[in-house]
Amino acid sequence: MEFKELFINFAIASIVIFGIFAFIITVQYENNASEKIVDNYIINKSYSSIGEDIGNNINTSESSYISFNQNNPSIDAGNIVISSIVSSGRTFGTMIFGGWNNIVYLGANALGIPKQVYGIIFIIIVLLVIIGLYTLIRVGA
Amino acid sequence: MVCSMIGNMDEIVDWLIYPTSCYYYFWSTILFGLFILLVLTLYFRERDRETHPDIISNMGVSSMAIIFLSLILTLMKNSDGIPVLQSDLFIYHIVFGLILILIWIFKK
Repeated sequence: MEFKELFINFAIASIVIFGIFAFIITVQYENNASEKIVDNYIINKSYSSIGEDIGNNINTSESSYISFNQNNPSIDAGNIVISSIVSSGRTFGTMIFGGWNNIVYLGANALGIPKQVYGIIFIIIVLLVIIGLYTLIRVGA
Repeated sequence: MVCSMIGNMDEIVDWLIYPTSCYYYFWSTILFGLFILLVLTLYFRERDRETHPDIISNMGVSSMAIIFLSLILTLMKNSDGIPVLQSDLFIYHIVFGLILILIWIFKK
């Protein structure tokens, strides 16, 4: 899978999941459901720190954007491409890892999947991102 | 299976909740059957119209419909405040649906 495709898929999956959860929580809240999912312990266990995670992701992406803007193109051959893309690559990585955290926690907690299993999948995702970023830096597009 | 005695069945919601007193997964089973029905209906309709029907996308779309139907069932409650579909079962429906949606999105 190409890096661009991986990034877009993660972005779409994150948006779809956020959309579904926002719809469910809003509908349950406005119709006074007796058992709201926000009160469920699995949801609380999965997403207790989601606001903090998203806030950190926003700060990280903002700082990446600032460092991206502050990069001065140097004269060395090849250095312009590398120093520019590494900063924006961090933003891509943050987006993917943030989306991954949002996607995996609920399923893992609800189904009782051990940490070792989704740790292995997480490692595969990390390696895919590193390879994708390396390709992005080497090729430059 | 031991069912509770029928009493105070004034509203239709009481009748909807009654089977869950015998079998806790009653509505989950019904929704699963509906899911299979939706998937196969979409699949065979696509097969008649297109040359390459995609059952994974049919499952993703159907799981969205099942999630929203489950949401409606969680909103229906009797006078004692007991919902037709319990919250813990609803979480499993969401997880099941999200897994299928993710497979659909990440599929090449």
